[in-house]
Amino acid sequence: MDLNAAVNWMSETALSGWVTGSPWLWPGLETLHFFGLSVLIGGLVIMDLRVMGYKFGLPLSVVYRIMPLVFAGFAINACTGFLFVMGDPHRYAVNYAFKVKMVLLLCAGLNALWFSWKISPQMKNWTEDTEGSRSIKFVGAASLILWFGVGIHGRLITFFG
Amino acid sequence: MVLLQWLEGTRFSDWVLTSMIGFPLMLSLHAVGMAISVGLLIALNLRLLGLFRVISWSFMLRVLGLVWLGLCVNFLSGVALFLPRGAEYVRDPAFITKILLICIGVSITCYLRKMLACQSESWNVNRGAPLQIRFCAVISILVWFGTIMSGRLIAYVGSF
Repeated sequence: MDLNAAVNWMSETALSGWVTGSPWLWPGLETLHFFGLSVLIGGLVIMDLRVMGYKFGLPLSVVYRIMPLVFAGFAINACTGFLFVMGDPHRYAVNYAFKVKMVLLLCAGLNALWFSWKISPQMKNWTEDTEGSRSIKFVGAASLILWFGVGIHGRLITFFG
Repeated sequence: MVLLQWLEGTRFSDWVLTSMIGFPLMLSLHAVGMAISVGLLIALNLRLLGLFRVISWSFMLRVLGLVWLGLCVNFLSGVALFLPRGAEYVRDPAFITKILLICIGVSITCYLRKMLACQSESWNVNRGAPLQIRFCAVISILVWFGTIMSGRLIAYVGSF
């Protein structure tokens, strides 16, 4: 199925009609999407700054406890984001900022996988004063930059379509 | 009103509204500042409510520094977004609601900061904060959610 056919099919689903059917639903979903973004970034800022070496007096094992917050924010935004795309697939299929956002999202996801497979096992014994190697700090910085990029390009969907 | 109309006519307002980058840049900054300040405040308030118990109060106090940074970014980008349309915005119910909620939210944050700074040593580390502090934390989360909602609705006012 090519993109055009997929987009046409999506716009004809009952779900698509539901998303665009009520005038209040779209702004409501947008509010949740912004809130989810905040929750995700809030948790991530704490995590990544610690990985980058801003210690805040915290052992890294403790910082991991904030991860559920990041996942919660991501879950809210994955659901609401999916509904946006279902609701108005024609718009997103041609939107330049949306495409960049999806690429950045993929990169951020790969970066997170790399972190959890290759780097976090090394960190189990980190204490309050441990500082990571340069490559570990790089992964933390990349995470922040990529996720802020995702957020900014989401905001730009309004302007570059 | 005359002042607001004069501000709308300044070269800066014109730049924000008509240049390629003015409006998208300010809106992006506004979203970044929102994510930093509201995100960290949610984490802080959830900690006050008893989640993430291993994270110390003193750490949360340090995190507040970043919250103020985010709020500053949003104040400045917010002013830039307000100036070109000030006369319209001051009559917009969504905008007025948003400003009121921000005043409440910032006041609660100042109060919680003060409580964290001078009382948290006596709080049980393994539990949440005392009841009245938890109450403020719940209100704070609701107020910031409401701020985001009313801010979002500014784009829609008149279209319902």
